[in-house]
Amino acid sequence: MLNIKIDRNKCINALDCLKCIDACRSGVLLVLSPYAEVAKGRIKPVIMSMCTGCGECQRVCPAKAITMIK
Amino acid sequence: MCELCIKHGEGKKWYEVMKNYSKELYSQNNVEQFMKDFFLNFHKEFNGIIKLDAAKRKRSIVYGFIRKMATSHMKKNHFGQIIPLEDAEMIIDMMQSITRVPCICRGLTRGEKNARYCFAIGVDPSPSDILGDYPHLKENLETLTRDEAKKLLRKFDQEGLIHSIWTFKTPFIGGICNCDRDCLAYRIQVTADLMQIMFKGEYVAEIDLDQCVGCRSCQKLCQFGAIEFSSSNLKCYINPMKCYGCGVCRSACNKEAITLNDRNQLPELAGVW
Repeated sequence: MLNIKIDRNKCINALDCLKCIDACRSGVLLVLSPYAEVAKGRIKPVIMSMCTGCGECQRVCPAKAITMIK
Repeated sequence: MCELCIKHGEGKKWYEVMKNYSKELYSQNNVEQFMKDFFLNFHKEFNGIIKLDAAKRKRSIVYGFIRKMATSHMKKNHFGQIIPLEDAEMIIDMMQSITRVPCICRGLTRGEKNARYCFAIGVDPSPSDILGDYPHLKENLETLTRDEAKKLLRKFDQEGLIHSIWTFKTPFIGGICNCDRDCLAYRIQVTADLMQIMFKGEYVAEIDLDQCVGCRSCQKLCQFGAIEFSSSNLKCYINPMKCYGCGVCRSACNKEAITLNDRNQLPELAGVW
């Protein structure tokens, strides 16, 4: 089954970037708590059942932090 | 009548009953503590969604069961219903305090910290400690007068945003939201169909075919894909099974061909929520 992995060491400034969030057509990726200090600004694939595997998030990521695992 | 009307409506629509906004209910159910935990742990709810979603993807036999459990959990704690503009305005008229707050859903789905689309009603979040751990949320509160709130609601309506009411520890109603695809409830219920988090409105829209000229402008505003077009007779039709009764389509119609009817008058539709 398709899976999206986001490398947290490479994705540093998620809240200022948000390119993958904008690129995701199906709304799979969500921002984990943009307010709280815990889990601040982490991006996570949540509703994977909507993912079509288009790979757009992987393509737009400037830090190359996103990989798709088949 | 929806389930909540039967349980908490006293013969009326449940959101018309003043008791469901009362301070007594607020303190009796310890809503303040619930709200505090709710806002603080909002991101933890994701773990539940991920599990539910995984069960759906694997076509697991337990999916139906988890879905039911999750829905009943939401019904007890944080459930919503779509309401048309008139009902939202009626609620505003009943309220003593209206505070405009940044939308938490849009924070989670778009990373937008200050998308101020939601109204806290009845509870004033600024003096209490509900938003204590969210300094950014707290800074951007704005107290609205009734007229200001109604003006904003009408503006949102024309932009095609759907209005919904939300409970915190059902039946206490604590907020009116103006949603689109970035609403987490919409995404989970309508886009992904993982579970039920909100009821459809008490209404269903209907197009007067004599007045409809087939301009299709209503179709652009419908968030639920309920409006269909027939090119052979140049008319739009509303699919009553898909219609949520939000009434947003009416603002786009130049011919005033769209009306909202009571859902309960149609025997087969009365059970579709």
